[in-house]
Amino acid sequence: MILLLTKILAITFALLVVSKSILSYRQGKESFILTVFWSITWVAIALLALYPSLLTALIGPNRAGVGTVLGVGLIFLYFVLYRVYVKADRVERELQSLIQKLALRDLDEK
Amino acid sequence: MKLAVVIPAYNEAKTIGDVIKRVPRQINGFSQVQVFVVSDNSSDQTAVRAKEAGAKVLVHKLNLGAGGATQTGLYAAKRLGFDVVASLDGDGQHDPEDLRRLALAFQQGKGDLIIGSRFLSLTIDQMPLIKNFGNRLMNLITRFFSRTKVTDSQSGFRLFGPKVLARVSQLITTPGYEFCSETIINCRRLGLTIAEVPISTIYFADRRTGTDALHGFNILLRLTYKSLTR
Repeated sequence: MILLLTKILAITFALLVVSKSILSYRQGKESFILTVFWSITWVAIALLALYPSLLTALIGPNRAGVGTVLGVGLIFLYFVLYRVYVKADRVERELQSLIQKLALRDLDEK
Repeated sequence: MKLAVVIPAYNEAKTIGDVIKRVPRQINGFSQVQVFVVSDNSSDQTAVRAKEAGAKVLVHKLNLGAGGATQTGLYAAKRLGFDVVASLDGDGQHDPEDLRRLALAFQQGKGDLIIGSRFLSLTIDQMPLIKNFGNRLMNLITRFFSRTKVTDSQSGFRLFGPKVLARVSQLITTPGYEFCSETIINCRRLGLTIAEVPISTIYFADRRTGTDALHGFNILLRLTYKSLTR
């Protein structure tokens, strides 16, 4: 049951991300390289969810379990999350400063 | 001394003109009182109505939030040589006449930051129960981070003295509504004094903003992040 739910979730998210990424590329909001990167990543995630045996075929039966791979993936995801949060915070501060400078410049010009 | 009254406003065209006109222009101890309105990317006629009512208007080209708008007003007042700045909401929930109480407390040397507290007034029962709970929750959270007991940490009716104005960039770093708590926390950290005076509580049916429990949870997350990354 859990395995089936995992497959459904993985395919749903993969479809969402890939379609959104292609749409963003067509609208000129995302670069071609980034669209290809996210599409390949999510197609791979969906394939691994549908055919878990692929993982064993890729890394060999005795070298690592699924749990190890998931653990490494989780650490990587937390690192990505941290980077995104820090960047978002920095962009927010820079945007705030820019908007305030523009408002104050308009006041000076009056 | 010159006093600036900063009103951060987002889509307050219906009320802003009346609020500006009700700000007292003669306050003991101040040679000049000037109103500044910071329109936080309003999509209605807030900026136009504010200008018609006699305020100096600053416009944000994107919406920052109450903290960002208040900070812009403080910077503008400083730049134009004002010594003291008061802030109040543009939706009519504050009685501008209460400004005299805040000014008096400042002149009596009661604090560098004077907060108008709804919880010290006899009209507190006008505050809806859910807002009352949200505000009390925020008082607890603010007390935890600042080690300072304040009865109305989320009040936007405040008076910032010269010492506070001199360090405004250190006091407000977040653009959202959490700046209310952040200011208190940073005042404490920088050794500035805080005092409270009672102000009227005015609530009306279609008021959209304010502090409820969910709002409080969001502020808690942001304050925690800020305290960890300071």
